[in-house]
Amino acid sequence: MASIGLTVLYGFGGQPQIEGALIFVALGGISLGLILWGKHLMPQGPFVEEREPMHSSPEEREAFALDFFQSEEGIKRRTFLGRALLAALGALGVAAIFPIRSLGPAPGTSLFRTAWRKGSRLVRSDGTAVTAQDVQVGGLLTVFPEGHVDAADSQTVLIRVDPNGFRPLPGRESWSPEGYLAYSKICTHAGCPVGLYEQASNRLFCPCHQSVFDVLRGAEPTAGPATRPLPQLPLEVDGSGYLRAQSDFDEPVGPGFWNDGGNRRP
Amino acid sequence: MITKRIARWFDDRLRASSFAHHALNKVFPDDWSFMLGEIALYAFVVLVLTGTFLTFFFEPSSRQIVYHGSYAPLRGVSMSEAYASVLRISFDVRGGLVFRQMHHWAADLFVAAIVAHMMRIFFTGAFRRPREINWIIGVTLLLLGIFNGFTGYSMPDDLLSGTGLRIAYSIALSIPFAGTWIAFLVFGGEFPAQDIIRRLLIVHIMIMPALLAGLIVAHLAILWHQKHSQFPGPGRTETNVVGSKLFPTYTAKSLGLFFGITAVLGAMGGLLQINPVWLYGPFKAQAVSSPAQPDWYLGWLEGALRLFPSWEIRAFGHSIPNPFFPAVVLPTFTFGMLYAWPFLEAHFAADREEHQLLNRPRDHPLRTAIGTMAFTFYALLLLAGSNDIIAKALRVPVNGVTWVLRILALTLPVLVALVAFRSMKALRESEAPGLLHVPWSAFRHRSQRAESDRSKAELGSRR
Amino acid sequence: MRAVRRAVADLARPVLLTTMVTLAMVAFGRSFGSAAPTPNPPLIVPSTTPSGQTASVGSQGQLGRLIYLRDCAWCHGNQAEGGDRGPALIGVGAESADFMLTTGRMPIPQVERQPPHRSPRYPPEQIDALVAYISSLGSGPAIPAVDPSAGNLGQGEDLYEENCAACHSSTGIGAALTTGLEAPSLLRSTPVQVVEAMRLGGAGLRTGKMPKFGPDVIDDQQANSIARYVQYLQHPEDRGGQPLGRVGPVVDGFVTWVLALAVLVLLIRWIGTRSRGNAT
Repeated sequence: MASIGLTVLYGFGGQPQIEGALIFVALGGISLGLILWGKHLMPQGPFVEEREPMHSSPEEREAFALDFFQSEEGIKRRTFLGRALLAALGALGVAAIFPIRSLGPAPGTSLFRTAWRKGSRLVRSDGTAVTAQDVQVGGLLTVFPEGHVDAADSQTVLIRVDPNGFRPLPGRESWSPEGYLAYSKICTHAGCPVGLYEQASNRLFCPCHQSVFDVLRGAEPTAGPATRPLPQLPLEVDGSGYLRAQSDFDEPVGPGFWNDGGNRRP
Repeated sequence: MITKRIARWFDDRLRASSFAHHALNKVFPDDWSFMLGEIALYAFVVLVLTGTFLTFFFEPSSRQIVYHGSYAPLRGVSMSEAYASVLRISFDVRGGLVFRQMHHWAADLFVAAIVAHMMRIFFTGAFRRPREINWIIGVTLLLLGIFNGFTGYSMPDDLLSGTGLRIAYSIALSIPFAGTWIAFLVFGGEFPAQDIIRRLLIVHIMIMPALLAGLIVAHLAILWHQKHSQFPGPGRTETNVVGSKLFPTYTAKSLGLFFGITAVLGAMGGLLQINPVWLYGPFKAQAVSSPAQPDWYLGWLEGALRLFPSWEIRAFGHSIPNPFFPAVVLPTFTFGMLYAWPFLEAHFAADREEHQLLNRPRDHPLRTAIGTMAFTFYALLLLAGSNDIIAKALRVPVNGVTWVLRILALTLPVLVALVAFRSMKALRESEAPGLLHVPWSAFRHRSQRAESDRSKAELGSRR
Repeated sequence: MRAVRRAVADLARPVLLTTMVTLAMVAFGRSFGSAAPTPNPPLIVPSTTPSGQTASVGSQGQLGRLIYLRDCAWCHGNQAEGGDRGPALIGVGAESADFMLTTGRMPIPQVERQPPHRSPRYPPEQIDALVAYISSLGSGPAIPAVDPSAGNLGQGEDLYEENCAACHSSTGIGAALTTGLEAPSLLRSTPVQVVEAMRLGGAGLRTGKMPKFGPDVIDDQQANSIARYVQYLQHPEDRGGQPLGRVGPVVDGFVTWVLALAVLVLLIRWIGTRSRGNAT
């Protein structure tokens, strides 16, 4: 009956909840019937079946050994042929590397660089450029280099802090005009976007593994599993008031890897 | 009569009567805990059936399009074709959402049933000779099941699954020496690369199911050949099997179980919403949602990533990044231990005999203790995978939850193991029917019994 | 015939058990689904001033001042000049006052780190009076004009995922932040409250606080779209059935073990035990 209902319902376009309930009733009924049948109307036993030991008899083993090792002798005698076979298989294995190589490009320097260049304007994800008036103190915006809004490795959080109470890190005095700070949005732990910003305490928070970064101290991690600060993008304001990057990030963005330079700034 | 004629037709060509006779009369033990594996088996059948249906409609493409389908809140939003096809399955394909949700619930259940089955095998010592090979196959099935669950979770290309892929990419990057190459070859370039969804589909619907099906067949064939182990009891010996015959009784029950599982999954697929990707939104590299978790079978790995302190190794211009330790070393160790366990136990207990009769957990207190220790550890990691949800529910700092769980993960398993060890010993010595029936004295007089115990154990192993 | 009767008797127990577990789970799921906190009883009972009297007090601002002196001056000072326990309110504007009062975050009996969204403590006309009084103290931002119906749902979704979901979750249920703070659930927020929070930078008092999204970051039209999408999230299309709190895989895993596997274990226990009549 439920099956008929299911068919009819399917014909009318379906509704998930009723479909689920009908599947349950139809199949559940069959299930109950079968189990009750098995439990009550069929021979119950208990039946006993003997089991043989899980190993072969000595004679059988002997016979196998004879078969196998004699033939093996035959193979061994033809040493040259055997070696040729091995060499051929080895060569095939080497050849197999090349198709695997086609699966992806060489990493090269792509992990060390992003699409940010000297003078890149900061744009929103819809491509509009950001001026120095746009973000209020306590505000946050995700920005990309102009012309590269789909460059995932270049995503950057632009934060504006109160310039009065803010002391930039040594060497980065000129990186944050008018309280604008820009950090790579990719967590240095496992690569999630660090999009959670608590503006009163100036903390960035990663939702994946709960790393916390201190915005005022160079995005240094203060809790959670992350070990490295978020790389900072040096900013400047141009003559028409647009925000621009002074250069690319000076270190690889995102999660660490084997040859990432190891001794990045602690 | 027609059946008889069909049977004869086949026998004339296959000479199958003798085999069929043996097969139908094969005896299966009746104990319920032997059917946990069957739950996994039938969940797999449901996965294949529903998965085949979904494959007809899924479009494995990262090409960006603008959505104009029937789900109004996303109209005009740009998304990948893969995500749009999942929306189509969920809203337009008849029965699509029920099958999609059944598929997802079945995947969760598949791995859960494997884990439950594995715990049954472990605590009853069913992995001992001659069943080590099947243990190894079973552990491989668990590994492949988890892996294929992850590929399936990642395919819809929604915001949540994109976050998972991103973490997987970072974990691949963290491998020493070859990490960058591995990540680039697997993903087809720097994340988020265009090819990954097509690759996930091929792995998810071709490679993994073929491997899983092949190994399941091997698992069952070996089981068939070796016959079931059984619990000790009257009339049950090392050289027989006691239970129901395959046909008709066991067949009816087992088919009943299959329909029962499908019914439950059908009800869940229709009534309990799982993975509403239309609410999560399409994947965008710069967006993320919180809380973000993987499906439960990877929760322990997520928990390990969250709990592991901010350590990493940096020297000589090279580094071994933080995720390598919780997300590569830990799982390698976990599965290494699982694979090695039958051999480790045989070695340390000096027991290489064939065993057809099972242990009860109390018969082997040390094994039970180690099993409960591992179970507690991984359960705590699983809990740690939702530390932010716990923190929000209890209104306490996330960092505090993390620290409490760090400490618990290192202490509680040991504590649980000690309790398990003592209580199993007490159970065995008092010969009480259950833990609640054990007199207190049995717990206290351990030292006196220890000596005689050891000699008993030695005797046992020599025999 | 006897076999059938036995079967029915044998069936009763597992069916009953399964039904009970299922019902319990559905009830549990339901309670997860409506995760909205139950409104706390009002701290300050305004009913001591019957509405008939309020009209006779005089102008709206006059009533606002009376309530202010009675309930707010303890912390914010008699002249709204601020004190140890509360910030100055001169010049915060109608927007801020309206947000804090309509979300029930004010008044509070003692300083809280992060007062949660509660039912408002005052009836609407008293809130209006208080807001009028606060905004008369100095110029500040007015209550934003929000028209969700003028917004575009798709644009709202897009902007929500990019700017809001990271903290408030894709499904609007909220999520944990650092040090015990949380981004609250948006499932009870009105469109005006949503836009107020964006412009003001949330409601956290001295710690936390959501970032500010000014009109140059999200313009009024975009704000309408976001408000509309948040409205949608409060009653989204749960085509898949019981939404299980829209928390995601954590609850799914829990349901798998505690509902699905538990029901199936009951089933196999029932299959695996010999029926009483056949027991040997």
